[in-house]
Amino acid sequence: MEKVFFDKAFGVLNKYSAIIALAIVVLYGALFVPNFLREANMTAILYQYSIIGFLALGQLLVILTGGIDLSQGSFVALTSVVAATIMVHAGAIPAALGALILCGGLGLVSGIIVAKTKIPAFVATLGMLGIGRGLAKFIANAKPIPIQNDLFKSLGRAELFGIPVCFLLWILVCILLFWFLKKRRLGRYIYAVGSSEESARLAGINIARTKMFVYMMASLFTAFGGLIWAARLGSASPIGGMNYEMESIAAVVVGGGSLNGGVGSVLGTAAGVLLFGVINSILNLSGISPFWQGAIKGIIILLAVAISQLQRRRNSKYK
Amino acid sequence: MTEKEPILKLEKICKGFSGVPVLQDVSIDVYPGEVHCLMGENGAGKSTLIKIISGSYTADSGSILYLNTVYKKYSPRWAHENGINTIYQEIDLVPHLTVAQNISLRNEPMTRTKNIDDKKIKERALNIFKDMGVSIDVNAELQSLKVANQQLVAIAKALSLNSRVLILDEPTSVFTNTEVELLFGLIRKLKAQGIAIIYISHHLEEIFEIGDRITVLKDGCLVRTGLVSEFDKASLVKSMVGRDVRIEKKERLTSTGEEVLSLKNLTREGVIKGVSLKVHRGEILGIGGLVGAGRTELIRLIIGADPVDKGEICYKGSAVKINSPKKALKMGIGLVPEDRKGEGIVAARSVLENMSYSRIEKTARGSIVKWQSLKKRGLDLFAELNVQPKNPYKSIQYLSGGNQQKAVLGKLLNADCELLLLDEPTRGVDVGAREEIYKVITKLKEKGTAILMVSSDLIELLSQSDRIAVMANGSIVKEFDRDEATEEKILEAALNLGGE
Repeated sequence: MEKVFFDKAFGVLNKYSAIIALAIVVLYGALFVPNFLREANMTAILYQYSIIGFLALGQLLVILTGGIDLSQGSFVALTSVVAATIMVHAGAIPAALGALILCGGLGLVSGIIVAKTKIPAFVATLGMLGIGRGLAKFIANAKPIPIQNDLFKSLGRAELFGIPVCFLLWILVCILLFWFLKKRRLGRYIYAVGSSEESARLAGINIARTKMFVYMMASLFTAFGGLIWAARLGSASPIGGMNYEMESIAAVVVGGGSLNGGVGSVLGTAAGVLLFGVINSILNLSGISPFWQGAIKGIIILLAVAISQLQRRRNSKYK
Repeated sequence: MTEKEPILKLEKICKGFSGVPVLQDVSIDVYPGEVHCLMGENGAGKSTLIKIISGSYTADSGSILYLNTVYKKYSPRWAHENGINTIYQEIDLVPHLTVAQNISLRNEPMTRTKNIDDKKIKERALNIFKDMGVSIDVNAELQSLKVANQQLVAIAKALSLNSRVLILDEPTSVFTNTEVELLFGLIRKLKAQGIAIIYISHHLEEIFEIGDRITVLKDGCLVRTGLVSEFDKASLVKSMVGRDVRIEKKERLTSTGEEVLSLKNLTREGVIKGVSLKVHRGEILGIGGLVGAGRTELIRLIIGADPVDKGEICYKGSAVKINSPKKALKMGIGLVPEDRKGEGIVAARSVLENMSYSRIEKTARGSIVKWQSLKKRGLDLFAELNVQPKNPYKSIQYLSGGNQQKAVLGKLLNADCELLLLDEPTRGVDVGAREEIYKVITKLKEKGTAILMVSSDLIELLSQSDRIAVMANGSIVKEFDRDEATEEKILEAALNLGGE
């Protein structure tokens, strides 16, 4: 009896570990870190991590199928540059649409490469990372492009009841994606493909189409993050978004996602994103050297993965 | 029944993999409402044939007549949608989805807004389980289930689809008697509904109990097809092996030497229960038993892959503690594992390198590997074992199963083992290579190696072993001298305690 109880408790703890960890660090921040609860600090976290948040949702879809998307950082830069360039000649909306279409298209190409050739996702998207960055530099002539359009900039600056609009948008997309993964066929097939590709194929699921879809969606989410990034900065930069894919992968993994595919959730990923946001803020406010911050985040990632591995070993013992 | 038109008609199906023919001109008729049994030894082409029927493979030539239409090829999805469903030997379910979600995968009931109706999914699963008479938690994640229950879920899934042809590929290999009876009840029900069933099993009793028609394949060719009543056990086995059942037993060495391995009351909680046995120099002890009897687990205990809870292992006369396979190899205990691809070979490296791994430490000076001396010896072994194709630098993954196995044996020869543990040494190996592997084993025996061989192939067990021990439920239930052992006696011993 006792054992069952502890196993259950451990299971719940593991399932919601990212949320529990988030609650703990928020509590710590509120109690022990001066200025943590100030509105300016809170909104700063929300602005910055809405961007990573969009990337992480895309990354989640790809990781659920057992893949990975390394091109996200460079696509953030590419989006910003494309949008800014179009904006010189046209309005904010054509600019945003143009950037989304281009990145979505490139994502679809990644998807086709992964689905149709046997090139691993790691290599395919690594190639795409180079292509994205190169394209961004070519378009922008390797220089930042200032953005004047106020409508566009409001995407990264507007607030509703004191809450950043881009954060509210992110929450909305989280809810939609949660519903999609839970209730739509394609959502369920994404889990099936990542959990056992061969079983999914035998069940008659179209593997190639599923994969093309997730890579395209990942790039669309990334592009949206890129638009917010450019709007917030008021400028586009071909060298922006460096290593953002690492942060999105970390958020998914800390949120309980497995790089082997088939395991992961919107809830966990969202908690993972905010967890890194809050920790980042606490480290800054506590005056810890930025040199150490990367190392501390690295330790958190390793701990999270170690815990989920332990849980898995516990589970397999009963078979 | 035979007057009816066949629902499925295969005509002159041929299929090969990288130039090696696996099926040659196989033609089969399957009638509605009959259980059509496919029989044949490992590697006879049964699995390939059903993969063609289920759309997973495309035949190189030949055609499939299904419901009066001729097809050259179709996809697994098309097959599903048109009533051809398969329950595979390796369970083809999705480990991270729940039981109910798996049953309805690709066939989810929808609400009016095209959302997945999870309530209906659960109801459907509950109803099917009720019909089947089993109780499995429909909300459990599939991977948390016992293998037998996973297989039941796979069957439930197939039942939930509107099948016209249902293919069962060794569905009972993970079942106990109660579950087998349950399955047979279901099959009879399906037959009555006019569903055609293609049934693959190695258990002859099952074939005679449930089958209507038998088709025997051997080396990719159709040997014989006919009603079950036209066969008896001996004639069936004869057409499967293509030889008389009379088993030629290997010459016994007149003098077996001293004891090499002796297990005393070896126990691992819940898996192995008090196993005692002895293996001598120059002797092959065969271990028979059904799948799940604990044979592989016993071997894992001996080489130190799993910890021993109770009992003693004596090796060459003294009690030893073996806590890792590496230590076992150092002591001269070698293993040919059952899972060749996963544990026996390093797929991407060359044959030569694979055969040399076991000798690296022995020849190395400090941490410097002596490749030249390894290579010389490896090449000699390569020639001696007659590994095909004759290119020792070829990556081992491209070799046939039999040749891979020869290389694995070569690896152990290279280690100068005194005790050899063979776990299903000829599984997935073609007949020609099998004979060569037996030759290698015999040669080792003559050199005085003690050999413990686990095998599910009764003929192999009877022809190669000097003594045979039969396991069931984690303990040894019977030991035979090879002269008194027969197929029937071994099966009886394995089954007696085999049930629940």
